[in-house]
Amino acid sequence: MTSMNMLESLTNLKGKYILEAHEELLESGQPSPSVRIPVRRKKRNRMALVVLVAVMMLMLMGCTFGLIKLFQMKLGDYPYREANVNGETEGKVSTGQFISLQGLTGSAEYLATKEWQDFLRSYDRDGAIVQAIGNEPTGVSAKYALYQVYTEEMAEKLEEIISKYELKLHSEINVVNQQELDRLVGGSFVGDALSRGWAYIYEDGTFQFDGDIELRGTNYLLQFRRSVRGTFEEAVLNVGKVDEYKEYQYTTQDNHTIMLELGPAKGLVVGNFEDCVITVNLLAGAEDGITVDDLKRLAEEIDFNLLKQVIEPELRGDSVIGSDDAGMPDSAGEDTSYEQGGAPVESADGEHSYEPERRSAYRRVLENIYEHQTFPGGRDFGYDGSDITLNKFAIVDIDGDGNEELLVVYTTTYMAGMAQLIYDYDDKSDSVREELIEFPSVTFYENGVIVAEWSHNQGLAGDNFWPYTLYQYHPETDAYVQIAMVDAWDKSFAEVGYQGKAFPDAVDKNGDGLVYYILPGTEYQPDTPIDLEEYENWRTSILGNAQKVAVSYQKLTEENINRVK
Amino acid sequence: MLYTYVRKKVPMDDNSIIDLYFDRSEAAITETDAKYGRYCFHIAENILNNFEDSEESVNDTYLAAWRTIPPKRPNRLAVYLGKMTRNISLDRWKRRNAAKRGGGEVPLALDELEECVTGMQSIETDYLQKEFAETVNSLLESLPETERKVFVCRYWYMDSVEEIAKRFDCSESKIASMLHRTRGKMRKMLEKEGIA
Repeated sequence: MTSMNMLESLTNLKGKYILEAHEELLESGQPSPSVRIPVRRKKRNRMALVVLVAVMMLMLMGCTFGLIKLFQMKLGDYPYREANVNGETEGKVSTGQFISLQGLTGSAEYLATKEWQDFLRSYDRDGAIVQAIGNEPTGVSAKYALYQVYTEEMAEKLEEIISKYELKLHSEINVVNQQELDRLVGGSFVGDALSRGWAYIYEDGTFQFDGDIELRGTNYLLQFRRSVRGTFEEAVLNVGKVDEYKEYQYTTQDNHTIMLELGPAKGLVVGNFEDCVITVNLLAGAEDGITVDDLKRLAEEIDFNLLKQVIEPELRGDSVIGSDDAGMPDSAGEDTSYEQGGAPVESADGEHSYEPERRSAYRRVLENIYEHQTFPGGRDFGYDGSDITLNKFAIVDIDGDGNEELLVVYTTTYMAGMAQLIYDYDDKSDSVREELIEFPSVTFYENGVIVAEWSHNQGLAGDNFWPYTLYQYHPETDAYVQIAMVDAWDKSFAEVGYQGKAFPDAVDKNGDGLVYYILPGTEYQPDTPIDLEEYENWRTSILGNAQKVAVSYQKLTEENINRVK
Repeated sequence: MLYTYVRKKVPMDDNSIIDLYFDRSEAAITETDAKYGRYCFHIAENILNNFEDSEESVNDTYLAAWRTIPPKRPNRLAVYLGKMTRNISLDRWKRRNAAKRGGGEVPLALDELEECVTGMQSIETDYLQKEFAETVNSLLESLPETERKVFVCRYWYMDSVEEIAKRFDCSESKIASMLHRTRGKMRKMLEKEGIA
């Protein structure tokens, strides 16, 4: 027997000895380190795993039907009261299978919702408590106003659940119209075949609206919901019987793999993303003549690329809670120019001047990008052949100089070519000049500061910090000037850094394992770490109380470009 | 505009993960990776000393798990996956290195275990290897907890002596001595059983 035989034979040691020797590797449950970069960058390493799974599915199954089952979202069989029919005073009580709209089996969101729903089914079953309260104030904290909490006991249970699963509660909700929802979400996210009514949106970006879609000449009602992870949700959906659904995996034209579920009376389109779950509940199913092709058409009307990138919306501050029509503004004053698809005439502050030559120059830029994928100044960012309309633009006075700039977000290319550009009009040459070019992960602030996150996080910051570059607009030169690059070192990611240096514990005064580097200039030389307090003081000195500016982008379509006048 | 959430996901329990395999759901792999990816990678990297090869071994482990579950329903998924990763990684190491020893902890572990080989000629059979494993299990049963863990860390997980010393908060020389004593006990047991 050789030493290699021995080494191999040791594989058969008793499991308990194997596990006890490295309990710490199993306690926290972590993925393989190939998953280091966030999913929004669409990761090559994670893609290797996804490709492996896809290949296995095809190899072993021999078909392209999806095997992601609705049961992964199923919470349980719950009683519900059917809609009143035939003039009866109360609908019949039936049992249906309810699904989570926020996470799959095993996720914190799913488990929390299940625990809460199981609790609700067992609490105040005869309704005696809620009837006794009637229309009087519940006395429970307003903190729970957005949930079915009407006693302290329920509040305590909810607190126990969110603490256990480390979730937040919704704190604010606004009822908004279509245009406002688009602005808060970051752009128009549905196609023309899908029409929408009023929506409600929460502080974390969760939103829902009712609408309808025309399929083969017939209008069908639907409910559209994006549930953002990290916040506790009560919303669940009764799907009847999970077993009655036919399930398909479908890859949309913009390369998102989603689930299509066709039931007898309902059709579902479900997109399960890193930060959110998008569910469209079509209120018609196979018995109404709906086919899987109809669900595919519905899916193609949705811009998953935009929706999956959750932006924290800036709500009005007048949280509307109560009846459906409470707080809805009347139709007077609606921005009809936006409804017609034209570029917004008014800037964020409505005080800029309108110049047809400027608009004409911007239009030429957009046409060149659309038709030839060429950019002003001869820049070439490449093109990956995907749908050019996935790119976006906006015409808005972003730097506050009283003139509109052209913002372009170009992503239909390889990672290194992706760009966010700001162009200004040069009346001397009747063309445009570039004010800024960055990777398209940019936040604008009302004081002229731009935070531009890097395309890659390949330093020592780990998962808890994403490096970025800060720019400040200078009105005297009408240009953005780079203030600094900012990076960090997370001790939990690496205890030893560049040139073999140990983590600077002495600098980390608050002991959170993170130190920061503010790097003036353009050279990456992280020499001088600072602690959190110093970093936050510096950042506050730049940003102050400046609010983020939400930009309403439009898709780079021929129609939208033609409306730039 | 874009925010990276640092979310803590509650790891799925093993039975639920195995259910996903039985249901042929692709979530079985992602859930397996979420819970055991780091564990499997640790095993692979210690043997292969190469990021890409270790990644491949982990992926091969998931493929093997997909192919074997069902019909198998492991009692302890961590052990099942860990053993597969170890075997796959050792095979990869052997293919990669053939006649030469290459880098990493495997050559060092092999050198250390050489002293347990008595020189008796024997046929490399599954039976002998099984007997060997049973003998080592008996040995481990008799050892104090720390010595047992150190042995398993060194020869099952292929952790370096330096890493083991840090984990158990003692000197490398102490770990080396501990391993030397355990190997001595193992050799005596193997001679008594007529295995090595």
